[in-house]
Order: sequence, then C-alpha cells, then structure tokens
Amino acid sequence: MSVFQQTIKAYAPPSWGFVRNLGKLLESVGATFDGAMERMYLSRSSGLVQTSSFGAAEPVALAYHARDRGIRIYPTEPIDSQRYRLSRFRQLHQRRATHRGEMENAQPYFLPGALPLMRIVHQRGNGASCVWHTFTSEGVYSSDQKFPSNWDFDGVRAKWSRWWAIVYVSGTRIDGGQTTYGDGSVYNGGQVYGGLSQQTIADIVSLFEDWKSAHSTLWGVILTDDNTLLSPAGTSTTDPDGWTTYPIGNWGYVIDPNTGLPTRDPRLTFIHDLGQG
Amino acid sequence: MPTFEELYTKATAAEIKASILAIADAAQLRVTSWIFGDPSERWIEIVARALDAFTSTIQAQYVRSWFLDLATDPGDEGDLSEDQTPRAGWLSALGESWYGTIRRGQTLATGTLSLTNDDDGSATIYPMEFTFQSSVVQSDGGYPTYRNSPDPTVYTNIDGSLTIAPGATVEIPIVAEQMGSYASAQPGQITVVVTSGSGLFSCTNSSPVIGEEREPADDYRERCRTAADQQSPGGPGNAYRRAATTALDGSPLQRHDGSGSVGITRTYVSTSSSLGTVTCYFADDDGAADAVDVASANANIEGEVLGEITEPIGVVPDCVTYAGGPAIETTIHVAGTCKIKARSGVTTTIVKNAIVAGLTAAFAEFEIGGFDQVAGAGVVYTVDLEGIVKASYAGIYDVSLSSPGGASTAIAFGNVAVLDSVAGDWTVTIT
Repeated sequence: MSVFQQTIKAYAPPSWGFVRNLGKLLESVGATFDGAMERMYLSRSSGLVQTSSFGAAEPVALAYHARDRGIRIYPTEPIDSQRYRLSRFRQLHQRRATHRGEMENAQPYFLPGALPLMRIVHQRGNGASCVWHTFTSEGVYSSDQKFPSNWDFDGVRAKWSRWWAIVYVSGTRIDGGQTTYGDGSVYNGGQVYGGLSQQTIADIVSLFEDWKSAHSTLWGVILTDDNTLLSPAGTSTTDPDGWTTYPIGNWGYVIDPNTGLPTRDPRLTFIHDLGQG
Repeated sequence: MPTFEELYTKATAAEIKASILAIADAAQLRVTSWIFGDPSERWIEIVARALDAFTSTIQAQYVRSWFLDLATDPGDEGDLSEDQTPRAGWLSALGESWYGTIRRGQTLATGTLSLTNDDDGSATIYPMEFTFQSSVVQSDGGYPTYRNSPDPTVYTNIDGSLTIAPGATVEIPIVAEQMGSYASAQPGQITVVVTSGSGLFSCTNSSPVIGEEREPADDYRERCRTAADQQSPGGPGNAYRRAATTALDGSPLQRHDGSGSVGITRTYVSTSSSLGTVTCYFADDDGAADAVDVASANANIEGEVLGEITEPIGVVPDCVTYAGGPAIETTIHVAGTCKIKARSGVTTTIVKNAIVAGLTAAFAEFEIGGFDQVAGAGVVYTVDLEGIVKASYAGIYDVSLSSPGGASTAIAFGNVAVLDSVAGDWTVTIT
C-alpha cells in the first residue's frame, strides 16, 4: 500500500522535484500517511472474523473476538474453523447445551474439506429406550428414539444424563491418521494410537465438552472410519471373540471382568472414556 | 505491517515524527543533523502533530471499538477521552448494542426516612425543604447529607405540601446529595436534621439507604460475555452465571427486597452430572453472598417471581434438579515480612496498607474453588500470594510469608477464599 508516497510529489511545485532532498522528505511524509491509512484499514478489518474483500481480522485479533463471543479457540483448530465458529456464534449459542448444538459446535473443526457424520446417543433413565441424534456431513439434523433401547452402555440406567458422541471421520482431514488401535505393542512418540496428536484428541473432546449442558456428562467420544457402524436402527450382534457391536450393558469395562474377553467393537476408538458408571 | 497491539495503542506525536524520520533516514536523508526550527524540521513536526490530532485517536478508537476488552467508558483505566468524568461511553454503548447488557452507573442513594414532628403545633413541610445528615463520619471526614425528595403520594396537600400533626411521625422519601456508595446508610444512621423550614423535628431511617458505585468495567464485560448463553434453552453453565447477576432486560439483577443491585461477582456452576443435577455457589467481592443475594439469584435462575424480581429469566431445563447457595468461606490468614528501599514518601504504614489493599483486590477475583480445580476443588498457591504482595507497591522485595504455611491452601468444593489480613500482620523494613 504505497500510494501517497508516490503521488505526494504531484502536489508540490515542479521545481521541488529538482531538489533531491526535498523529494525524499516528501516521500517520507507520504509514506507516513500511507502507514496511517494502512492502520485505519487494518483497524476496520479487525472487526471482520470472516475473510472478505474488505480484509479480515488477524489471527491474534480472533482471540479477542473469541473471548467476547464466548467461543473457545482450540490449539489445533484450523483457522477456517475458527472464523466459521466465530461468525456463527449467535447460532451456536442458541443451541448450546443441546445435543444438536454440541455437534454443530464440533463439526467445523474438521474444516477445510469434508465434514464428518456425527451422532450423539443417550439412554433414558427407565432403560426402555434411547435417543440417537444424527448430524450429517451436509448439516442435516435428525433424532431417532429407539424402542427397545439399543444403547445400554454399562447397565447403570439411573445415570440418565450421560451421553456419548460418535464421529465418523471417513473422508475428513484427519482420516489419514490411524484412528483405530494398532497392535497394541507401542504408543508412537507423542501420538496416541499412531495417528492423531494428543492435543488434537483433547481438542475434539473439548469441542463437545465445552458446549454441553451443566446437568449432563459427556461419558465418551468415539471415532470410527466406518459410517455403517452404530446406526440408530441397528441392533447388537456378538462377535465370536466376545465383543458386541452395540453396548448391551457390557461396555463399562474394555475387558469383560467375568469372561476376560473384549467387550467393544475394535473398529471403534474411544478417545474419551469414563468407563463403568 | 503493524501488529494488533500497535493498532489499538494510540501512536503519539513523537512516535509519528520518529517514524517519518526513520523513513527519511532509510532514504539517506540526513535528518539527524537538522537544526531545530529549520523549515524542513518544522514541516515534519507539523505533519506529525496533524496526524496525531486527526488520525491517531480515531484509528486507535476504531479498533478498540470492536472489542469489550479494549473499549472503555470515560473514567475507566486506559480511556482516551479528555473529560474523564465517569459516564456512559463506548463500552456501555457496545455492551448494550451487541450484548443487550446495561452497565450499572453510579447512583444517588435513596430510601425512606421517619420524620417526627416534636413541636407542639402542626408542621407543614415541602419537598426538598429539609436537609438531613448521617451520624456516621466517612473516610474523608465528611458526613453524607440528604434531601426530602418529591413524591405526590406523600405530599398530598393541594399546594404540594405535607402536614404533620404534633408528635406524629411520617415516612418520607429522601435522596442523597452525594453520588454513589458514599451516602449509603444502614438503619438508624440518618439521625440529624440539619435544616428545616420551621419547627422542631427528629428523624431516623428504619431501612437501608443505598447508593451504588458504577459497575467495575471488568464485571460489566463478563456480564456481556454471558449474554449469548441466555438464548439457549438447554442449560449451559453460563446461562446460570448470567441469571445470577443479570435481569431479563440486561440490567443488573436487583435484590428482591429492593435494597439495590445484587452484589454477586463470582458464581460456581457444577460442570457435570450423571443424574441431571446442577449446583451453584455464589460469592461477592469479600466472600459468601448474603441471603438476599442468594435468594434473588435463585429466583432469577429458577424463573420464580420474588419481590422486585417480577420477570425472572428461568434457565433450568425441565427434569433438572437445581440447588444454589452461598459459597462457604475458607479464611486464609496472610501475614509476613518484606523490604523496600527508602525513597521519598515511602513509609511502613503506606506500604502495609498497600499490601492489604492489593491482597483484598486479588482475593475478590479468586474463583470459587480456587485454582487448578479438580471436581470443583482447588488451591490458592502461597507463591502467588507472595507475588501479589510484591506487586502491591512498587519497589517491594524479599517477600516472606509467615502465614499461610505450606505451598498452597486447599479450597474445597463450593468454598471461596476469604482474606484475613490487616496492616498489623506485616513487618515492612525500609532499607
């Protein structure tokens, strides 16, 4: 942005142009004016969280917007997601503490690129049914009440305000990472499960956790790259190795304390797990 | 390109001039050897001053205007207005326009006074005719004064006066002559009739007379930030925090008994529950919130009409079990020694008072449950207290605390740290 620095001499008498130092002096003043205009321009654009033809707030300014708008920015959150969530802060707050809102808050984290299918499930206190909340990668929300319940995590039905989030990461930007357990022999350096960084996992969990109601508990966050798993309409089947495709009161422990067999579908990765209730 | 911090920091004329000279210097113009008063030097001075006068403040205010943390009202720290008389400015405008939240201003204390006609004959009095005075001396050595304010329901005579029979007592409204909490009075403190039209009178106030200071800027900003969560029907934690301090219309929540604004500045909201319960604890600047504050906050949170709270918000979702109460006070005795180098104006008394003031201000900010909370219970670190003492007065060094002992003091779930420290707890050595 060097405009006035060049044009200022046009306003001076022609004879000034022959005075070398005067020309430099005029340019210095012009450059200072240009700097002032640039500051004005940046000041104006610092109010814009989304990129536009008028510029956009610098990342450091986004932190101020985040504080004012009640939107937490996460260490591994892409700038696209930050800008999107900040620009939609009213809508996000409007549904905060609802299961739909929790998914709406978490989904932009996977920008840029394809957004993941997400589900949240919780069981009713009487154990007779459970409710599945689905938020598609296209942003379509639906809920399904399942009679009889196909989600009994650990048999503790009285703890009715617990819920679980499932993120189907297939096709998203984190799909390249290994999101299932390896052979269990090692944890790779600084990584969990050989794929995602610990900070990434902490951030994904926090995106749900921070947007929940005060009266509920996020009991688990599950990643999978298989969109056919844990569908609302399904029913559990038992694998010959002992694990089940849905919880039937047995997922509180990873290993069944009675049989010594695994309980959970190995195609699911629990990145947050409070275990037995 | 300037940094964000540079954008919201007002550039001075000297800095602008230095910038011009730096550019000129980079262009190999020998600007440092100019003679003061030389036309070229003067032109640069003029340009710098013109930019300072016409663009610097506007530009700095421009960027500040977007953000709660950077916006200020006149009288707030960092405000750029020439007239610093406390009043609504850009921060109040921003908060009201974007967050629907109203900053509490400084108010004149108002209340009711019992005025007794001690004369043998009837007395006829007019609004604003009397001056009353508190019997309690204030920190500046003065006594707050009050006038009998107009009220057509009290002054019912045809000429706007009120007749008081001999020996009779009437309740009349009064308003302070000094702004803010200076003129707040507890029951029985306003007992002096300074001037009256005629006759012999005595007076007392049976209920508090409350005047309030302007809401601290940071408290107001925090209330603004909770505004968005008021929209959610799902019961996020911030919705409880909002309702503990703010009425439906965005103004400060009023105490249900009409004795001013709720003083709650800190609210703990339980973060998780498997059984659908939410527990809140409330504290004000100096410890646990009082019973009226707690009842007022609970009414607004639960959506129950109570006294002055006629339009409660109600943020507790169906099926949720809610309980809210005062925080439990955990008193921390803070005492110790420190040193400071001798310089003009430094006395041990000044330093001791500054230490206590610094600690008092810091304790008012400590969250319920303390720092590094696990399941709502945390600590107050002793090393942090030493830091607060050190920062309370410029030049303090070698701070050593004799109390509290240990590296930290545990703050249990629902507890709030309360300071126990007076000037006599400190040994200050001037070296």
